[in-house]
Amino acid sequence: MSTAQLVHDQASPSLVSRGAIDVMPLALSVVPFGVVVGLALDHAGLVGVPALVGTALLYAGSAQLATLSVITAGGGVVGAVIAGAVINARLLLYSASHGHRFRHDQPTWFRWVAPLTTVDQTFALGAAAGHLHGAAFRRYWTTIGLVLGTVWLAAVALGMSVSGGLSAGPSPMDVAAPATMVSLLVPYLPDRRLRRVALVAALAAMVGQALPSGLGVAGAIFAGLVVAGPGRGEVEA
Amino acid sequence: MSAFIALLAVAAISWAMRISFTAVFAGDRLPEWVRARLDAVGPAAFAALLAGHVAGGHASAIPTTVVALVVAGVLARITGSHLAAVVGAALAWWLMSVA
Repeated sequence: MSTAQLVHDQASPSLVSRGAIDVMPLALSVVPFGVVVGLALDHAGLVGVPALVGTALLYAGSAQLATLSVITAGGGVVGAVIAGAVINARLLLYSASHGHRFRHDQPTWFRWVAPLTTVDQTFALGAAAGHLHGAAFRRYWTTIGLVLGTVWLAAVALGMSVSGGLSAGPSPMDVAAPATMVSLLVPYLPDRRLRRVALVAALAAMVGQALPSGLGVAGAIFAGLVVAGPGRGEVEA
Repeated sequence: MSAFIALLAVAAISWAMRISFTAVFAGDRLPEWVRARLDAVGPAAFAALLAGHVAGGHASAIPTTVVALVVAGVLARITGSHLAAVVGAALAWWLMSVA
């Protein structure tokens, strides 16, 4: 059952529990990736409170892993920052897409602080709860961000604590992250236009796989938007 | 120390991108070309990330991963549940690996 179907009463306090229920499967699916990031932090020599502070402030696993990989490979701080920033470039589009829901009828703190938890999972859940505005959206967004962030930090901490004790072999949870992407993508596919967007973006990402960190994905998203053609848009002027 | 500095720098840049259109710029500052396509950002990003993940994996694991992801897609379509999709994909992956 989709969020939009479940949420009817925008003033309902049950939005907190609804948000927690909606985000929990996505939060659990990021655990394996969080463990991997924890291992990468340990490998990069960054552990303890600083590692968790950096993880919490960045709140983006792919960018964090790319940044740490460049540092570990001796690529330097500038190269690491560029790698992480390019991977996170899609956050600019996410911000443009859902920005009006943070600007209209929201307090200042929410506009400046709450977007810190914008990632693929929260963006998708927020889009699915498109009928929520004002306090209802604020309550829902804050819940999914906090739940996802808590699980994410716990998984990263777990990865740091078990460093060296894990098998490097493949495991079924290796498909958790891409399976999550599939489940986030599927609701868009009945729409022919968005299906074309997804197909072109996927093909472009595969073609651009050899490009330096993050550039292939960024280029693929752009390619998808190019073929999208005008749609209903999201931003209210 | 350099890892911590790099993480903080990426976090600052990421935060700036995250708040760009929630707190700094209004949506009408965007070109019409972009505004008309914002509803396609989600599927474009998710498809690109998904394809990048699959293509970036070990070649020998790609068939298993693809089958597991098809299972995830079918379960997501039928049940509308993220949990069912993830658990189903992991189960399919495990069954194929032990077969």
